[in-house]
Amino acid sequence: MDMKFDKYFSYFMIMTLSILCLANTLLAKEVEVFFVRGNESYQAGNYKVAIKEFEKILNSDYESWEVYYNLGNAYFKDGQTAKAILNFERAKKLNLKDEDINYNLELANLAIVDRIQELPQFFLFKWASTIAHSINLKVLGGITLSTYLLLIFLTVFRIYLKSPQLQRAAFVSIIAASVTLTVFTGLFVMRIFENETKIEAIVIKDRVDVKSAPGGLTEVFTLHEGVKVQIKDHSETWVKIRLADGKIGWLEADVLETI
Amino acid sequence: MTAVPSFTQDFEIKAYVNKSSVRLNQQFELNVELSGRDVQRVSDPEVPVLDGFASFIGTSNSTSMQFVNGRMSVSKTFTHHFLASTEGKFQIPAITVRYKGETYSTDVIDIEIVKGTSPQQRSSRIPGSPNDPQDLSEQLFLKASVDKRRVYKNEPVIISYKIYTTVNVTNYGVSQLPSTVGFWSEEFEMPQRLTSFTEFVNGRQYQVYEIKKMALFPQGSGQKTLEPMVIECEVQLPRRRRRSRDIFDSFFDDPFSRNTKRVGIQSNSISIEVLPLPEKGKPSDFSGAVGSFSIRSSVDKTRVKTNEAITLKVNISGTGNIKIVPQPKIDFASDFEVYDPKINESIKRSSGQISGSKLFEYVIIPRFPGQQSIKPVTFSYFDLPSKTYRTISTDTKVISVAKGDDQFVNVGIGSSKEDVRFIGQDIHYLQTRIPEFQRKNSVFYKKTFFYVILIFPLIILGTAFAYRAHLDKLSSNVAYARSRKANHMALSRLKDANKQMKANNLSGFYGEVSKALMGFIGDKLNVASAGLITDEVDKMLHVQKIEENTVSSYLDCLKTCDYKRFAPGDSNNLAMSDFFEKAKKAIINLEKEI
Repeated sequence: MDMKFDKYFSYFMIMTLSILCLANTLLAKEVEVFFVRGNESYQAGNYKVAIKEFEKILNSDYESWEVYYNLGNAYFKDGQTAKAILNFERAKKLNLKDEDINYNLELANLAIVDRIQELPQFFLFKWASTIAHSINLKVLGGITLSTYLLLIFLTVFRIYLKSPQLQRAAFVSIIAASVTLTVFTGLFVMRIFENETKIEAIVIKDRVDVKSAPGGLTEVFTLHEGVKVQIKDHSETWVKIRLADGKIGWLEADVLETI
Repeated sequence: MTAVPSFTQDFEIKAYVNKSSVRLNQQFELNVELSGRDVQRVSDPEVPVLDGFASFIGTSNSTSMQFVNGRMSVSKTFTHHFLASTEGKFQIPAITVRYKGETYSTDVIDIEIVKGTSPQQRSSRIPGSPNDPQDLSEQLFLKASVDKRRVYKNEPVIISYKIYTTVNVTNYGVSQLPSTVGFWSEEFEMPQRLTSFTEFVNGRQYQVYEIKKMALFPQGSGQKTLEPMVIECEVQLPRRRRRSRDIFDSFFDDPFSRNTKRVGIQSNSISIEVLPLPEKGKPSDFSGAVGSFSIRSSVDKTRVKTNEAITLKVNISGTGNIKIVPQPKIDFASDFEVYDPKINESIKRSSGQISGSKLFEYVIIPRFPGQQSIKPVTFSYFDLPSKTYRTISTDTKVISVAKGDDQFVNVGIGSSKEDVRFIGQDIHYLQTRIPEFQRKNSVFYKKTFFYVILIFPLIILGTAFAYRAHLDKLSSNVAYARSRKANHMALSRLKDANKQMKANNLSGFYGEVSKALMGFIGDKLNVASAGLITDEVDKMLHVQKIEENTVSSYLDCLKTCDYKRFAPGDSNNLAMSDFFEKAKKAIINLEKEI
């Protein structure tokens, strides 16, 4: 009876994992056409047409990092640096570790006039952030879930095992899996929290004056296109922004586009 | 490792005067020297205000550049010309420049202005000895003459000083130079040996020596007076015949011997009317140059690679006050890195006019590949022959810049982000593989299946634990195990009874039913069923607080079994199956309540 249970359990685990993969591989055929056309127009040097084609995919409510990346490239070639940065950032959000995205984003960022020095962070946060951002959210979620399932499996296994040796092996594995799960759950929750609360945006207007209050007259500082800001608050058509160097001010929402 | 020297080590400002003691109404120079690699970035120092003791005349500047070990050092010297106007001891205040938020200043300079000897005082001493019977004023005089008396501001006036004499002048010395207040003067070179020519004045023949010739560029407009020049001459007058008191003496007294005498003479003063330059048609970039000029420019190469230096030479030449020709404003494209020019001045003071050229050498470095052009350089001046303003310009220089080897160039130390430019650097190419599209904003952690995966294993885990507990109870608790097995046992006994019924074995049937009934109670209550009798069962069931009805029907069945087993009588299948159902019902009812 015990043997049978383990067998069924293994089947169940394999099933859940395959469902997870299947859900990701759901394809939308119609947007592939736009993608191919966009690439062709880009190759032919019709960057404006390419931009339109790639935008069509996004307007059909589909996305992928490749679309954002290619769109960013088209905007860059068309001379719209701020839009290019915006789309490279969006691509990066979906795929953190891609070399092409990071390279092109860095190159596009060179065109930014404003130089913003990042505020120093407490080293533990910095480490955690670096580790959490070194893995794509999906992969991080996958690892967390797999560890979770493994832990459950090991626990069940441990309950029904008769041999003391195997029991001990299972116990050690459970401890290891628990530690791993704790770490990954921490990072995963941190990323989800960040995804849900940290809203970033790119300045898309050539030059904007940042005010001290919504609708205020006092100009605090000036920003140029392409700068990344964090949106902290909003009041009617105004948003409160925070720069990487800690400067805070208010801007009208239409000069920004969220990543 | 390269050390980055700080500006404090790298930048220096110095100020000095050409003389610490100046005579009243004399010019002196204040030099301000800036040196360091980043001198171009420093704004020009302000001319100090020396109100109360000196008036500002003008400024000239020079730049020199040096490359040492691949590092450039530049020094820039501003020479301010002042005219001492008040007697006394004064201080030139410190000159400060600001660079990158730091202030650099020079030391305070002490200067003494002493009383100059005025020409009048001197001249009173000088006239030929009053006791001299001979009046020399007719025989020897100094005359100043100018080529014109009405000039424009900055138009040169040529002034020459000539000695007119009928006597033999063996030597002369200048005891008082003409004061040239309000003029910029350029002196012509005079030959080492004076040549003379003859001229008739008032019917008398004079030997004429030109001893001094200057070009004066008036700095301000209005009536100007040139103070006279005073010189002292050694003249040889013919000796009067006289009797020798001594033979020996007279022996040496030759008839041609002369009497040498020192005579001071003073020139006439000259007044000049200086006209201001017309306002009409004055170009906006006019800076005061008057004369006639030409401009030329050249580049040393027209095909270069990025980051390779090109030298642009702009040469302004002509007649006039070349010294005040300003540095031309050149509109370089922003793609060029431009250094301050090296300025070379050459002035020719000959053939009665001041001419020369000023050469500006710019080092420019193209940063971007492509066809780059240097726009024409323009220069405006007031043309004297035509009395109009003129603007002259060079031609456009086209330079084709090829891509250099190094692509990113960081310009200068401490450069801001704006200085970092990228050249010929291209973005990475498109992603060509058709991607896996997903719904926008579909974060997996907000989907149902994610939570199913989270919760479902927990259910499994709970079940696993419960089942484990059940198994443990089965193996460790006999009563529990028997009770769990009671139904199963009862059912199998009833099955056996059913078999007996079908075989029409009356006593066998009732025996099996009885076993099922007794066994069920025994299993449920964990007692040995073998020795059980109906009365005991009744007691035990009452202890369990089971409803009377259920107990009585159960006991009824048991009693019927006992009775039928031992007193077999008429029997039919119908009665047996009725009883079978009855017994089964009794077990089920009891099972529900126990």
